[in-house]
Order: sequence, then C-alpha cells, then structure tokens
Amino acid sequence: MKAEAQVLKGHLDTLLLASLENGPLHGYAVKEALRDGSGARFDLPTGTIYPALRRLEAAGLVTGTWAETGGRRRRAYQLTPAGRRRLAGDRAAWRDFASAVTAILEPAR
Amino acid sequence: MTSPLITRYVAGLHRELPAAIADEVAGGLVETYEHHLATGAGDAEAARSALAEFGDLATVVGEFTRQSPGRRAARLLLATGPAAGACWGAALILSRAWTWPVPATARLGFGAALLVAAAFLVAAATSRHSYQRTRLAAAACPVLLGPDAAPSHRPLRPGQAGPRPSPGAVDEWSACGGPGAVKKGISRDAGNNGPASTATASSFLNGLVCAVAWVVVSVAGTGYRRSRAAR
Repeated sequence: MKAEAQVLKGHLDTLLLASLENGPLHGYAVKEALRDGSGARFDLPTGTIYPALRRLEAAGLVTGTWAETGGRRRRAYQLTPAGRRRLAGDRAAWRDFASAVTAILEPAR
Repeated sequence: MTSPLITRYVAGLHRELPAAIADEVAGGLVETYEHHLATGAGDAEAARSALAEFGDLATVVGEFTRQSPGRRAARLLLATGPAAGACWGAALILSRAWTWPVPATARLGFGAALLVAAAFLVAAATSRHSYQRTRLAAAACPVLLGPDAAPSHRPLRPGQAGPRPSPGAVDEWSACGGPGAVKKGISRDAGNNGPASTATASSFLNGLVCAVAWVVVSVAGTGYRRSRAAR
C-alpha cells in the first residue's frame, strides 16, 4: 500500500488539522483519532505525527502547550484561527476535487 | 519500570534531539507501550509492538532534522548568499579594495573564515539524519554577521591625527570588515552613491537575516544542550 501512503502523506496536514477541530489533543491522541476516524485505514507511524505537529506549529496553524494530566506531562495541540481558516479552505478544495473525480469515475447514466 | 527496548529508544531520542522534542516524543512512545501492555501483551511484546507502531529512531530523528530551524536558516542564508556576495564584490571593486593596506594574513584569515562559514552552512543545509549537524548554522551566522556589523567601527589609520578620517582615507577596519563597511569610502572616493547605497542596504539586510537566523538557531539549540547536559 505504498501508493496509499504517499497519497496520505500529501493530505497529512489537513487530516491533522481536522483531528484537532473539536478541541486540543496530544500527539498520541491525534494518532488514535486518525486511526479511529478512518476505520483503522490510516494507521500512521506514531513517530511521524510529532514532527508534523511541530511543522504545523511553526507555520502558525496550531499551538502546543504543555499540561499535566493523570500525573503525566503532555504537549496538547489546538487549532489557531489561521489553522481553522486553512482547514476550511482545504475542506472546500477537497470537496471540489472529490466531486470532480466522482463525476468522471461514476458518470450519471 | 519500562522495557530495556523502550529505555534505549528514549535514550536515543535524548541523544539526538533537543530536550523539549525528545520529552514529547518519549511520552508518546511510553503511552503507546502502555497501551499495548493494557491489551494484555507481555513486557517485551508490548515494547516491540510499540516500537513497530512508532517507527524507527532514524526516521523520527530524520523528520525533525528536515524541519529544524538550523537547516531552514542555513538554506535561507545559502539562497541569499549569491546576492549578498555580489553586492560585497561590487562594493570591493568600486572602492579599489586591492589598494587597501591590509596585511596578507588578515585577508587570508577573513577568506578562510568565510569559507569555513559557507562549509558549515552547506553541512547544516544538507543534513538529513543529524539534528546536531544543523546547529553548525549557529556557528556560521556570527562569521557572516561580522562584515555587516563593521560599519559601526571606524578606527583611525595608524598615525592619523584628529578625530575624523581625512577625505579619501582608507578605513583599514572597513577593509577587513567587507563592502558594507566601506560605504563611506566609496561615497568619498568614487563620488558614486548608488552602488554604495545598494551595498549598504544589502549588507544591512544580510546582517539582519544572519542575526535573526543566529538567534533562532541558538534558542533552538538551548534545549538540545540542556538535553545533552542532563544525560
């Protein structure tokens, strides 16, 4: 499934932003959200989630803050206003793209 | 108590990455490991599953290295280097740098320092698996910053009387400091403000880029040094 992994990599930032849409999550929870939300199809190596989150943070799309929960220090990430705008734009672009591909692959008879 | 496999991986993270990043990633790994333990796996099996799920250390370190501040700063400085170098070169020619009474050792030393700085930047910019190597950019920044900061230093020539250099005087420190430093010499000697202004502006911008890059890379490196000291 190498091709699928490449496609997934191209959409990783959008998927990460979407997983944070409903509130702050730490790295492991983001990974779980992606796995559960995709019916276990998107099971990314956990270690690649953290660099991606840091990249989004550097781009100003998410903010990370350390918090202690259950006696454990974790870094939770949440969307910034810029991240929400980016997610809305990516979502609209994806809908356009998906509807165009669907129209070609499944033409109305 | 965690598995030796996990302990080794976490030690590797702290060896290779800044403290804050290593702490965060290690926390995620331990959580993955505990998740597998909770599903009934044995200690060694849980550790192996967690590591398989997490990805190997080189991949994780490589991902962080590719987006490190040092690597980005080095790439930015290398990208802007030709433009800055062209301005330096133009200003050196316009101010007839070959006539400056600068000792050969100073010329050679300055040239060598620039070459070493450029080599450091290339090493940092091309690093793919070593976060430590990207920190070479921090060492290169002050060398590149030096020539751009030189305009603020204008010592008199040896034997020169009075507080102000005479018209047309060659500023030795400026000569060592690069074209950005000789802007006033160009204006006086050649009566040509255009190239001098361009050189000064580019020198200022280059200096600003170097200073910002230096601060960013140094701050990013603080955590790394703490991480190494803690081990």
